[in-house]
Amino acid sequence: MENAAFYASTDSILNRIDPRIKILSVFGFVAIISSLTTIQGLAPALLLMLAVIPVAGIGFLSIARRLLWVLPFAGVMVVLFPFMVPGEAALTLSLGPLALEATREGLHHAAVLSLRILTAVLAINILVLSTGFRNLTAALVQLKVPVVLIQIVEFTVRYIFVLTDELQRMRVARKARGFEAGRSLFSLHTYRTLGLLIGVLFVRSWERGERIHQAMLARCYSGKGETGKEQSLKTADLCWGFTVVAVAVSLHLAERMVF
Amino acid sequence: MSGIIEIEDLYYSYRDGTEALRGLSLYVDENERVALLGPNGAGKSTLLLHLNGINLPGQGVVRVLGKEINSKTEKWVRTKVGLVFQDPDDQVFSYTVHEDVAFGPRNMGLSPPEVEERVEQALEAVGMSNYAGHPPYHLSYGQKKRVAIAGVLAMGPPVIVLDEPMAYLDPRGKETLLEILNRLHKSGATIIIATHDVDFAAEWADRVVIIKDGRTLRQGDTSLLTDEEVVSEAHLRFPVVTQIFKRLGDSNTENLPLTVSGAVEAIRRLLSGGGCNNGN
Repeated sequence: MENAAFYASTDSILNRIDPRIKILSVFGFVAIISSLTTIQGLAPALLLMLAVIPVAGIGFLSIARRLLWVLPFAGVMVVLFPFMVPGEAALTLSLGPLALEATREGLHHAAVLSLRILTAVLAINILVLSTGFRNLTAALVQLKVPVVLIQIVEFTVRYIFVLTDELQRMRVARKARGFEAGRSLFSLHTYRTLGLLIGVLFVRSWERGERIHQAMLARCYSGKGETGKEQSLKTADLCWGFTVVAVAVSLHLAERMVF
Repeated sequence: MSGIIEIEDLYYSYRDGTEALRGLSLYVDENERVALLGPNGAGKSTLLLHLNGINLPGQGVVRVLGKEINSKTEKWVRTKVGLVFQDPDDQVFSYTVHEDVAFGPRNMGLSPPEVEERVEQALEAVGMSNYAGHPPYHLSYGQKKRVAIAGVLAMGPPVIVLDEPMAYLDPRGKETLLEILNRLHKSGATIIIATHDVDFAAEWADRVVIIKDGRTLRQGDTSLLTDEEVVSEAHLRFPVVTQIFKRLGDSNTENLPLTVSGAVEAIRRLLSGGGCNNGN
């Protein structure tokens, strides 16, 4: 089941590093990498991520699946960019009366953007997959991220499958009463029905939220997140963290001075 | 009137103004098994939320272990009255069974080794020790129910309240639940169950409290369930066993059996010559 895969983590040397250090260093890495502007600077970063994947014990297929989620957002931007940036024309597409011009600068921007996104997404996915959801959220609390935000994420994850189950049941019940969605794009009946169902799902989720809160209160919940034991930072982990950030910084400097 | 739980003249209205409880009074003694019966909408679930301070009285008094429940004692009462909700999905939300059962003891501020002990004991008590590392969403309804109960047991409350625990359980699940409740009762716990199951209440309860329209209609021992007036006013029905004996037209309208063992006894008496004489 999908939910299980979400919570699972791989077992590798990366797992044993303190999650707080991992979070901070990966975020630092991503921040600096996202400021690189040349393909020669970004390519080593991407290659590094690709090299880390097997070290972290992550299967290429599973991470590729996660990359698919980025495709709708990043993919659209990357495809449009060459046509939006002014400059020297590299190739032209004519669609009837419209002539779209892809510029060299635009293509370069698109390539840089793609590399940045790819590297960042890989880095964060490696972080998540090699740490495990629970350890990650516990570390975020220790790093003083507001507990409310983290709990919203945790509960969304926990209950998204309960909600999709409810949606599915409602779908089946509708079908049993002869409802056919999408019979016509402009069917008022379809929109009204779907609208009602989404509304009902919202109300039900809200009420469930109330009940869950009551059940938590009933077990003496006081609003504070559970942090577990705060372990002291190990030198080896700190060195690892610095190295990660150092790699990003050196690429940045290399860009400035060499490329 | 004395006991581990005392409610005097309780009034409570929902946020939209509807009066849910209108002068409800009841009491529960220590180590008693009480069944709360009543039609849908009578206010049973609302009442249960008063027992652990989630709802606070609009008017009237709720006392648990002698202490009055108000905003100052509400946190304390949740360590004394454990409430198991109707839908286990509302209660069991953690990543693993072990995490979820540990939620209560951790909130109580117990030390990690103590939390461990409590979790182990609670899982043992409900027969879910083998599932400690499992994620809850993989479990069947009955198993989730048991994890919810374990989560409450781990807090060690002297009073355990369950809202319709038998609903949706298969017969085996009901049997397991009954075994758990019996063990709890033997160890001294006070158990309160809100239920629609008249047969279950007849077999299990020491006392029965019948609620209607936000008020206590009657409270007393299980023989109340054979009282025609009470049963029709509360929109209940007679336990199956009682229905059989009523139909047989036995002139003895008092002492109608309501449990299976009561019925077996009554039939044996009848067969051994307390009734018709067969050709002697």
